[in-house]
Amino acid sequence: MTVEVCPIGAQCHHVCVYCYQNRQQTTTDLVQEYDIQKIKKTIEVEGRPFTLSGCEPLLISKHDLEELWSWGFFCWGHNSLQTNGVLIDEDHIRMFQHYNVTVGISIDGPDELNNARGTGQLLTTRLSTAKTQANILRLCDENISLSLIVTLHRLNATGSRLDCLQQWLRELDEVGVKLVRLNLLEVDKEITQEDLTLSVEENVNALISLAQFEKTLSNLRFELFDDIKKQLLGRDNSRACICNACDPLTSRAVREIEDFDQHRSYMRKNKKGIEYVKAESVGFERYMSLYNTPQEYNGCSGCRFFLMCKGNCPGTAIDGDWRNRTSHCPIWLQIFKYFEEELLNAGQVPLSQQPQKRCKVESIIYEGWSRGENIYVHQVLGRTV
Amino acid sequence: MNRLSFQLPDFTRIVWVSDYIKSIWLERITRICNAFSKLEVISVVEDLRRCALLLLDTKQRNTISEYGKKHGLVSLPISRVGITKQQYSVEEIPYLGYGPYRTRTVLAKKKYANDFMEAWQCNDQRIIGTLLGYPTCCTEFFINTWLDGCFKDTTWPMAIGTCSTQIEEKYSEVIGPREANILWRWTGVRAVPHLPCSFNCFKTALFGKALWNLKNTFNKEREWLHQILDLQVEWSCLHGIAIILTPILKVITRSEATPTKYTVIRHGNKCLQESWINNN
Repeated sequence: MTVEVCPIGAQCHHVCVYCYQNRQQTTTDLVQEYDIQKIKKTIEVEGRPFTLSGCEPLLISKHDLEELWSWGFFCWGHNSLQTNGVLIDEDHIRMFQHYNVTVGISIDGPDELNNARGTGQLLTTRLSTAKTQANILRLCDENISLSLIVTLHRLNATGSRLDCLQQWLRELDEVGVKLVRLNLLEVDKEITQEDLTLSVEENVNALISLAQFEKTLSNLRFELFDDIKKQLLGRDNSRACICNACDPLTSRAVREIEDFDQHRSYMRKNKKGIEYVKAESVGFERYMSLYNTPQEYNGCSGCRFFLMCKGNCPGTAIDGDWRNRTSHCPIWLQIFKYFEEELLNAGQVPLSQQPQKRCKVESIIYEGWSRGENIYVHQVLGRTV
Repeated sequence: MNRLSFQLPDFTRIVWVSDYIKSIWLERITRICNAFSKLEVISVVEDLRRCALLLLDTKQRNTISEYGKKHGLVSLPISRVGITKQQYSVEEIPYLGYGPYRTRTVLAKKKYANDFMEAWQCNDQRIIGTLLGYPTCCTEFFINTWLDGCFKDTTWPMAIGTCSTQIEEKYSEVIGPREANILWRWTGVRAVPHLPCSFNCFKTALFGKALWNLKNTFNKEREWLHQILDLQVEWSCLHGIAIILTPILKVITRSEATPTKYTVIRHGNKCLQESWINNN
């Protein structure tokens, strides 16, 4: 479980077209103050390492960054950061090295493939992308632990753009980037829908193409595919949050800390732009409900991949209502089938192909949810089923 | 209302729009709830109704018993129920014979105590409703929806029964007196002890006004109650989960397992004074 620290909330120097935090940006005061000491106290209560995040955490003063990271290094021996990578400079690199900061960079590809993530103006957007690309290489040169988040959309995942993306990923593989997280585009706004959305078929083609492409690489791995294969085999103790029955009111996978003691619920599913304070207790009503609701009514009843997917991320739910399953269901369904077949061909039998065992596991997990407890598949399989 | 065949376990969770709003309103809501509990008792003493049905722990039982004696009332235990961790629960937890429990107790004028006990044993809801001071229309509504219809969330049937509403197949906008606004009950805030038959039930409004004006007590709590009940509320229900959106908090609770979404909007104020303040 990640503790995300967002001292400046949803503030950013970019206006990425599809960013789910844009709603928060328009509904909160952009001049947000924060108190580092109070943030540290709140992290102490959580008692776990944190990721510096928000829209763009490198907008925080270097003095404050140094204070947070030096303290994080003292407490846990390492730190992590999620950034668009544009603002990284020599001082930041010194701090990354000194305080063992793992850097995650959000970028959708080189040059025009990254046009959806930018300043709103083409020229400055391209300049920003170039800076990020240069900074990725610089971080690799400096042996700083680095991973990328790439969101798939019309600008980077069809036709020649997909080839271009793969060529760029091959280059990154050669310079030593080891981990890339692939995200499907979250469609919240009309502009996202019109300009960037891929069809189900395009999404599936892009993912399968990348899965096959991965086999030709030396170092770089797509975390998503590893996660799916592990989920199918019941090894669901991975880092992925989207298939682990995330509670939309407490977001166990992500705990966000702003200033003061305020713990927000995870912004990704706050579709109305209100950052509710986290609920005091965790609940799994979404998953019990989806398990029982027929698929024709946007539930998951009877789906053999329910244990692996659980209706997926509430932030991507149909109609923006987390009581529905994900709007990406047709994509995930085909991807699960693809990897299910791949595992079978390799002589491994996924849980989705063992109906009796799967039903027993489902009923144990459902019982756990009804008691307010999230039991993982690997825990159930660790006992006897 | 189309309903699917499953029902989720009982649950209620509340999330606040900010810590600042919570710091102000949680205490006020607690005070409103405490005031309501006391008014339920006072209402019998003051002859607003003949009986009150209370859920009491041992200490409260002793206090109420003493208080009742002083005012010529009797308090009779009906059953023991287990204690739930939920903020609001539709179903009683059966008491297993050990551990903490609460006692369902009737507090009544002496001459009505036997009538109530007989009606309770015969499950005569009409007499029970009358003795508890509930409007006849609301008792009938309770029998039809809660008991016969097996509804555990009566919001949609209430909206259907509300006159002058903009109503579509699965969407309704309602207005009505604040006392008939029962959409805050999951937080404990309510003006009346029963489930009103509609959002504009006139008899419920009269009963609620009389209850909160008893002995001219709890003036501050009444003021806060009015502020809360006058806020705009949006209730929606889908797949067995209701989400109740208000300007200060959101409630997520068990509801009817509908295949599609049903929505009721009760019009009202969209903010409180505190909402204007920078709430971070």
